[in-house]
Amino acid sequence: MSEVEARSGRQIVLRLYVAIVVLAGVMGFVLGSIRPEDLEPELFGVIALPPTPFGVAIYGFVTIGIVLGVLLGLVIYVSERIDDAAGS
Amino acid sequence: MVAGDIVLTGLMAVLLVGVAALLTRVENWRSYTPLAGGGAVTGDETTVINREKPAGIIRWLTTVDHKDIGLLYGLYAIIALAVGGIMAMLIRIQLVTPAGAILGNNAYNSILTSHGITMLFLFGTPIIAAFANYFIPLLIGADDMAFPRINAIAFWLLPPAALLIWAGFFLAPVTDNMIEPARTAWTMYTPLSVEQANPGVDLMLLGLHLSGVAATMGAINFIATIFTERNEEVNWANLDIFSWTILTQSALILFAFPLLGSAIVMLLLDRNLATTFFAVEGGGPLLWQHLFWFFGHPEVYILVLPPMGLVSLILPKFSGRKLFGFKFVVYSTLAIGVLSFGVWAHHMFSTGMDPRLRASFMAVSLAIAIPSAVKTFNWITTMWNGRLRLTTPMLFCIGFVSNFIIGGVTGVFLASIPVDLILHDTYYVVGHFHYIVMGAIGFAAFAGIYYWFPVFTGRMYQRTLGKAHFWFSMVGTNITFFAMLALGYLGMPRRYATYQFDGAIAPLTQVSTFHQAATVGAVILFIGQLFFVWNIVQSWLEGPKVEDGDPWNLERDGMLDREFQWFDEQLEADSPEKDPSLLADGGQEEQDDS
Repeated sequence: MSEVEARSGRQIVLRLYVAIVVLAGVMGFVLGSIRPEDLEPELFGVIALPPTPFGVAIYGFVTIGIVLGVLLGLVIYVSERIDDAAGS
Repeated sequence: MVAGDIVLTGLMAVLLVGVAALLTRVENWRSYTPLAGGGAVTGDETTVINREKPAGIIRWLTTVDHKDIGLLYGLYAIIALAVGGIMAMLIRIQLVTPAGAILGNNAYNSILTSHGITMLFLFGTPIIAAFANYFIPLLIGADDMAFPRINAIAFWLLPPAALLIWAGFFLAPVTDNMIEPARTAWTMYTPLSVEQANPGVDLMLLGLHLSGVAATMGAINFIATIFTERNEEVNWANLDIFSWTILTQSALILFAFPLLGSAIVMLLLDRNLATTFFAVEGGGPLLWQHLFWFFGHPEVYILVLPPMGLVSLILPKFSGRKLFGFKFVVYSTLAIGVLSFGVWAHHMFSTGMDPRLRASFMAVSLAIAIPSAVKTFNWITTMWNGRLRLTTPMLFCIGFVSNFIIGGVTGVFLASIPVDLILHDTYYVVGHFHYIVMGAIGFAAFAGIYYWFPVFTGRMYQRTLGKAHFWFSMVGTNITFFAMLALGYLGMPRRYATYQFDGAIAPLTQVSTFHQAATVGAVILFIGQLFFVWNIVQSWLEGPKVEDGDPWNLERDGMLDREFQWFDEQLEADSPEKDPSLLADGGQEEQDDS
């Protein structure tokens, strides 16, 4: 069989991270446009954002970016410190 | 009337004798003695033993070989997927317009019910059994399953189960609508399911019961096989991850499915013999929900643990490194298995049950997210330091992880009582669980089919079509099920055949738009599956033959598992005809002294 080109896992995971965060923003925009009842986005439960498409987009973008960013940070930390099989 | 019955019985007897006579003429049955199936072989006076299987249809009707049974399960599951998929398309087309585009209310309810039951019981469980049957014995170095004949019986219970579940559709036209398809939804909530006089409900319940018996027999077989039939080199420490998940799943089946069977019998008694298990004056309608979900939530994990095992097995192969934190993935599997029995009442938060009970179920439901997150973390960490090869099975694994995260996170919100009270019975729930059942379980099944395609066909699939299948599935899944999440936020209730709302309840224009978006997504998804079927059928018949026992170049990374080593041995073997699937036993070379 002809070999499929191998790519860096880091690049692909990072691209996935960016894609998902952007998608969260887009989904926020969509939800902001349909404006379900009592939509009151509050960043971290503190900073009130307007219930407009852009407000909810920022809400989705920032929240998912930070939550997944922390998880990604953990993945990077664990990979560098604990993962014995790294690079094998 | 009596004379008619006697004549009919006589005709059936003649037909059966005729079929038996035909079968004996087609093939000499005695020539086929399955060695690994416990066929007694003593001394020299036994009949001739052919290493080859009988030809034609007889092979498939009489087989006790785990690989053949695996293929039968696979074929069965794909047919069920097609039936369930067409039902899903009918549902989606119906909902394009608020008044319903093509179906009447009764037809819609029938199709909705059958779609759910078909996908969960006739596609989900069997496709997992297909992989497990074919590959568990190879992965653990066993000759065959521990009980090959029980294995065959377990499979052959499934076709009648499907016929019973779908019976109403076949019988309605010929019985002048006296027997119609069940319209209970797959959860069969009482009192609705007790009070529908339609005998089609009884047939569906019997079919469901039969499929449960089949699953239980299969589970006992897998437990016995993994415990007792392992090669001496395979111990608990180096048992592969897929076998671990099948072992856990089998244990769940053993505890969950008999309970479903009992509840179904109670429901049948309530329907036909006027017992009061689920009547207000008896056990009460809520009893059904407790019994059903005590089965139903473990069923979710019965369906999702083996696909997680598939991803844990396949994803590292194309990351060029071993699974990160293997032990913790196993522990999380076991933890999910145990916790899955303590979360059932989160399906019932809005029933008016005791609030103290609700709180405890909320706590366990939130807790079960932790082992699931551990797995996700380990898959991503495995990829992080890997060199990824984006083959079709790998793409489906990455798709699985992405969709599983969305399905999982939306589920965590539903575990919270106040959120659930708002979103219960809306399309949000439908979107959430379809991200899991289609976006995750379906994707893992496709990953498994592509990954092992060279082993069970001896050929390679067409890669371009495989990738088209992935991208259509990924885009279609996300459009369809995200639209459903949005519909849930808008308050659209699930299971409705039409949605001509009062504007005060939900904004009709927006609801229509999202329903139409979901239908567009479903069409994209459907086209993707056409690529899949075309690819599998054509490649099986005409694809390039695999000459090398390591088609994925796994040996380079030291990751060639036993099933590919076995495949390599079969390719190198001279007889019979270089076709591994034609060996009568579990694929082992015949010993000289046997």
